[in-house]
Amino acid sequence: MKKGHFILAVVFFLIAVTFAFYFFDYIDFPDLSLIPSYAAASFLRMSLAYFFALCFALSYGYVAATNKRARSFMLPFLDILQSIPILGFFPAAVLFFISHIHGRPGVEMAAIFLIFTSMAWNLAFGVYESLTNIPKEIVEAANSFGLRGWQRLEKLTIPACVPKMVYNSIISWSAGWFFLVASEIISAGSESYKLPGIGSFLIESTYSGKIALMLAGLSALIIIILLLELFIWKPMQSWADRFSYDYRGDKKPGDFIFNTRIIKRSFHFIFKAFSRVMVSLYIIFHKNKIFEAAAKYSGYLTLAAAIGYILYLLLGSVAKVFLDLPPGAYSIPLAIAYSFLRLGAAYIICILWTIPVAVYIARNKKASSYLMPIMEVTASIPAIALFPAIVVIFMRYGNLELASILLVLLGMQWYMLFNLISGVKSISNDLENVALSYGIKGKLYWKKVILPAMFPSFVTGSITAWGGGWNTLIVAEYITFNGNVYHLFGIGYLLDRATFESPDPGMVILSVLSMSLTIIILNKLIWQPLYRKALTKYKLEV
Amino acid sequence: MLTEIRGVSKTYESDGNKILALDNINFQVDDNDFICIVGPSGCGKSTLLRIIVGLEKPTCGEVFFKGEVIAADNPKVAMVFQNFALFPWFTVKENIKLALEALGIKEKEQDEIAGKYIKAVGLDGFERVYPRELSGGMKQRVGFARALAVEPVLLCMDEPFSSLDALTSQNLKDDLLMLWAEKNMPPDAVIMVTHNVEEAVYLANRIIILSRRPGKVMADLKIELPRPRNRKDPEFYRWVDKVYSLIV
Repeated sequence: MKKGHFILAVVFFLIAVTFAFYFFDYIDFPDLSLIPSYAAASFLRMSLAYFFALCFALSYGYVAATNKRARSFMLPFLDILQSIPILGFFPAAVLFFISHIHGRPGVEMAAIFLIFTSMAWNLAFGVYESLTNIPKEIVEAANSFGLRGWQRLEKLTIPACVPKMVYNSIISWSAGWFFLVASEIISAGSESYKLPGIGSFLIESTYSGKIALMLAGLSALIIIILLLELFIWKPMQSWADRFSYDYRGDKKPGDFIFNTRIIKRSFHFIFKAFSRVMVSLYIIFHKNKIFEAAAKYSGYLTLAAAIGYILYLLLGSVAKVFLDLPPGAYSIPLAIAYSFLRLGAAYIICILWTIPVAVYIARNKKASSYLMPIMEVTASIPAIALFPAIVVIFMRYGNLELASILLVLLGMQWYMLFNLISGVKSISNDLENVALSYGIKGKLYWKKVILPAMFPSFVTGSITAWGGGWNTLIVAEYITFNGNVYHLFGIGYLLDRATFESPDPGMVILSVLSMSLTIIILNKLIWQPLYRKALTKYKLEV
Repeated sequence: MLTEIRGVSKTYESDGNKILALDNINFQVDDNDFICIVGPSGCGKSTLLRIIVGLEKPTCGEVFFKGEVIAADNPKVAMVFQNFALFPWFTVKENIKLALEALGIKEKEQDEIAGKYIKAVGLDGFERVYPRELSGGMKQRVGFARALAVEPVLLCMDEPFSSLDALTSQNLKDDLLMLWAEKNMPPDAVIMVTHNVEEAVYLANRIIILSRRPGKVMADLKIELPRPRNRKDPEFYRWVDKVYSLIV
């Protein structure tokens, strides 16, 4: 089964269901007609954040790759940014932005900033890696022709970034959807900070009991994501193929159901235009020495000013917080412990179902040919968008604990599953044959072949899964439904309450800091040693 | 005299240890020289070639090209690479034009020159094809065309045949010799690095043998075999044996 066909089938099915709801009067037209504008607002937020993230990534990655002195602090800084649970910072960002820009624009900026942070680091690493991994011979060829200045930028530097940027953009967008919906849902908890968008549409229609409407909104979100996949990302990947150095020629089997030549042409056109703009900017900067000097120093100056300002705010408020601990401060350790247990429960369920399924899919070609597209499409739905649906189901039975564990599980499981599948697939035919010819099977086969082979991908999967889990938690512990606030005691609840219910910046900062600290400690104590072991002992040589 | 390599040495530093890779290399390159540099692997052949074209700087000594210290972007010296070094995002023709564009040649003239050399290496009809769609031998033909298009005086090649299969590389060598025999084609001299002694005897009129690390010039032989050369000729084999005996 081609993934493209499956995507189209799902899209038509969702449209049909929505019309059926409408036809049988489950949905009113005025409500339904809100969807396009809400979806457009969400999409605009995503695009703006992506644009800023792209600009940031290109300049940050370029400087880190070309300036040795800058690299020594730019890379570790990026690494720290990447390991922080971004969603935890959303309440802090909301408080920060609305204290400077009042009302909706402030919240709007906080949301775009949040989506930006979920997209930017990965893109910046992409630029850095592309520029430092250009094959030596190609660099030498460029040197021997005397390619420099704007010509080098246009002919070598920009094209070299394309394949990684396309790949990382796809990852960034799927992370972005998660945070977009999350930020809209979180801010919908408070009337004054509401953001119109597909996420707030979902949660509002749920709160007002219009379940069919919520399902229609969910369909709209899934359709947007799937159409982007079909008409933007897939053709873009195949267009970007020509920029990769691996020119041995074995083309990946096409996954297209349309003639995508026109789309690819327009990518090329956009790319050329973009590249022209960058080159002209470069020329303008270099022709005017003043500009160059200004750019050089203004970069450092703004960076220094920004860091100084943030430090001032942070240190000031931290000092204030520690001098005068907010009353809830002592509940933080216990809250983290509760949240940790919730994550642990979800993680155990996650391991229990993903390991056997991953092994089955990876070793069964027929099953994987029809299960993989289904899994991939399901995984492309941001887990948080299912939150309202889960709330509806579990509120009826009044068990919030189960709802939040299920939600965290949804935020974890796909990372685990896809990593494990690629882990099992990495067992070579030779190893399989050895096992077969020595009669290694059953329990012994699992213990000595499959589980060790899975170990490295198990560790990487777990690291990303826990990262996703912490982010999901912020939403999962604080629920407003039918005008009532339901909550589970935990760090996510403390954060949300201190932002929206009874604003308390000190409490927000303390919670975010302790959560980050917990995660960093967990990484250092558990995941990093395991990762090192995975790399040294269990790596299957290619 | 085209190029003079004068007292070139190269030292690498790894983990605080200094490793001498090339030790006081001296020789001259004249018009009509087809030089093959041979030697055991790790003797610094490729490093020497990169120093000759200016891509790397020697630790001591200097390389002069027409009386001046060589610079990497000197258009009169062109380089052919072992793994072709073609830009994957450009077509065959765009790859060749790239070198000309960097020289500031006008678009129309670029097209003419590129067309001429595409024909010369037998790639007509493949102008608009991307490198990934070409076989290894054809990729290296693009590499040759690109190097010749700047009409260099000195052509340097780093193991240009070693990533090709035997049959393909033999065809390409014969084509190269044909271009070399043609008087109105560039270049005036060739320096090629190889570890294949037979290939060196087949192509070169001068072979420079480097010793095991640190690389020193062990011998500088004139190969006085008439062309076209025949691999089955006993005389050919005497030369091959002679070069082997000097390496070992």
